[in-house]
Amino acid sequence: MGRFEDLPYDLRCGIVKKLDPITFLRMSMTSSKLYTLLKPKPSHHLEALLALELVPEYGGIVPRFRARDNRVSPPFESEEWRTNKYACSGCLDLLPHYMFDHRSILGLEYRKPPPGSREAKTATSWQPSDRLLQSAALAKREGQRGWRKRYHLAVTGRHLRYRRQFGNRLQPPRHDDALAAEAEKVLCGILRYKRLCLECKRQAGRLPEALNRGTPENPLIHVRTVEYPDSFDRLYPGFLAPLPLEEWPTQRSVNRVESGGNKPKLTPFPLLMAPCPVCGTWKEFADFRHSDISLDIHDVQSSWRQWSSQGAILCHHCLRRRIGTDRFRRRIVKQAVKHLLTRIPGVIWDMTWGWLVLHGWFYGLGVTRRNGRVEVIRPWDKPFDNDDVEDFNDLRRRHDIFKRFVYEELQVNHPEVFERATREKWVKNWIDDFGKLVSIYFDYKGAICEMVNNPGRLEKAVLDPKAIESIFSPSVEYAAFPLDQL
Amino acid sequence: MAPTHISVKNVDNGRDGEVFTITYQAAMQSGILKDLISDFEHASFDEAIPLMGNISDHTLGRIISWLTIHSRDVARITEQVKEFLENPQNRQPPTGPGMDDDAVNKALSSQERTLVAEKLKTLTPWDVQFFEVPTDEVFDILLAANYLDIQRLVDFSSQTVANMIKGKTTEQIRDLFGIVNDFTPEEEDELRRTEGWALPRCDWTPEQWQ
Repeated sequence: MGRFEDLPYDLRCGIVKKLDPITFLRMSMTSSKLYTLLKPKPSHHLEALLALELVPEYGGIVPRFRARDNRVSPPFESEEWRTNKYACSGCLDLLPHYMFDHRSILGLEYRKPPPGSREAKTATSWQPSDRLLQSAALAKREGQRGWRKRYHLAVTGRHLRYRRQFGNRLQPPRHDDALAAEAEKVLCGILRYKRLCLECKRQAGRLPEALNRGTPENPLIHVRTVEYPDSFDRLYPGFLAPLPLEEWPTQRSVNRVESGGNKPKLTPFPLLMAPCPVCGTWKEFADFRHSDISLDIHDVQSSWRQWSSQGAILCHHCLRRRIGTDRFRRRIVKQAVKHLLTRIPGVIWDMTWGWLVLHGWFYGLGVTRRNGRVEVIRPWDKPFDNDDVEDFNDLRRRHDIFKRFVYEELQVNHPEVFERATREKWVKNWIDDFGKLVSIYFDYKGAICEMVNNPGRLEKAVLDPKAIESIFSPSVEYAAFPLDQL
Repeated sequence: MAPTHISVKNVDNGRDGEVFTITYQAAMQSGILKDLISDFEHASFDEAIPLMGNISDHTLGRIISWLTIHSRDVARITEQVKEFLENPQNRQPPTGPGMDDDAVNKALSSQERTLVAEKLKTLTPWDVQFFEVPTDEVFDILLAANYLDIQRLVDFSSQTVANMIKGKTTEQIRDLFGIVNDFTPEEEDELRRTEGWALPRCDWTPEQWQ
């Protein structure tokens, strides 16, 4: 067994100076002798915390940010962001990323340093005496200034520099990702020790005004923009499995699919954080909804200001405490059902729009008349009654005939027409996986019944403090509904 | 004229120990040996220089082997760095336009010095293997290197000890170094009050941080 405490003072100091900040702190807590020798300060605690945020088990991922086109990798919606945490130098804690504004975690000098960078390798700053190496600090700052200039040129392109030198002969921008990466290794994370969470900023009166969508008394901070399927999933995160968007366009995306042929895009929503005036806890905007509200940022802003002036801002926990469980349940069920009912016409449209589109296509191809399948191909023209099982049976019958027609007649007798028609992925999906759409419809209907019959489940989902995290991984797949069970 | 080889006789606790032969160049890395050689400058080097540092033969033998292996490090690494810097792409870009030759040369020699110093501080795979010994032996090497004034070996040994501790909890560090937890309950309470962050949290598992 080694005898650390028997080593001469200077050797012990030499070892301690080489420790990483976390181990330094642990070392200082081993005995009173070592505690007296090392005497950790709050700055050492912060160093340990900053080192801890780089350990994957504690702080999660180290995202890469490309400044020249503001691209974050992995994107915010990915699973990895769920567990991503950052250190706050105010409350000395590791907090989820949504407790920080955008700049505090992605600004060049505030973001997590990439592996291999100077900041990622930093040992403890502990010194046997508190001497200030001023010349070394000055030289370091001087070096950083040079790298900052190079970084700026690398991410903005060099045209501005040329413009200054050669007048108005504007050069095309030349980005230099390699140089930017080199500069990031020197500059990333050097100001992390100044990073503050939203609450610490609020207490210090330093909340970023530009990001405040609320009022000075009741701030509502736009911390991030996340892409999400639609407002229902956004307001009730995790309650329903999200739509399998890779495969099925929603009503809103049909135009994009038809015009561009691209897969449908997710809609960006602002991730808004606000402190509850009663309990003081920071929560996502979804935890404050009291009425039917769209997530358009202007609606949110005006509603929030109105609630603020009425003194009506309350998080769900505080609201339940104030009005009682029964009334709270009734209120959230009413809102959720209302939200979901607005979604159902969209699903019905998804189920029936294929006829509308395909009618035009196949008619144009000259196939329908020749094959006498006008009844199958013609658009769905009668009003759809949500509760009429006959409608579903008719829908299924027509889809079955249509599918048989496509695979048994069109593919066999007109392969070139079949190939042209099914070139688009959504057409093939619509033909092959119709059961998935039916499945979504029944899920919504089932969810409404579940909310009404079992309001406790919705209450649990709404009050779950981790509900916000499901925003960052909307990836649940729908299984096809067995059509023959209809 | 400087000899090519010198002999060193180990004197451990007053008893004559083993005699080691070492090249002059390797011996010059040790401050103590350098001083002793200059003290014995006018004597013949036929007799072994006594070394009274209470170092065991085994440890001294290992240190001599380390000195021998690293005797040409500075020259070799400087050469490598010069070769590396011959490629303009490896040079750090000059800090501003219109730098004259003197300034460029100055910047280059500064970069060369930094690179050499960095490389000399890096543990090679051979060193890593060299230190794959029980903790006691690492401490012996550290103490002996300190006595012999071999700064690089002191740094390497300290780095090895630091690496041994890395990732260990407070309790594991106590076990590794035989440190007795002598905090009294009152002291612990006081620490919990004043150092509220450190004491409970420095050993937390990722789950406890949730």
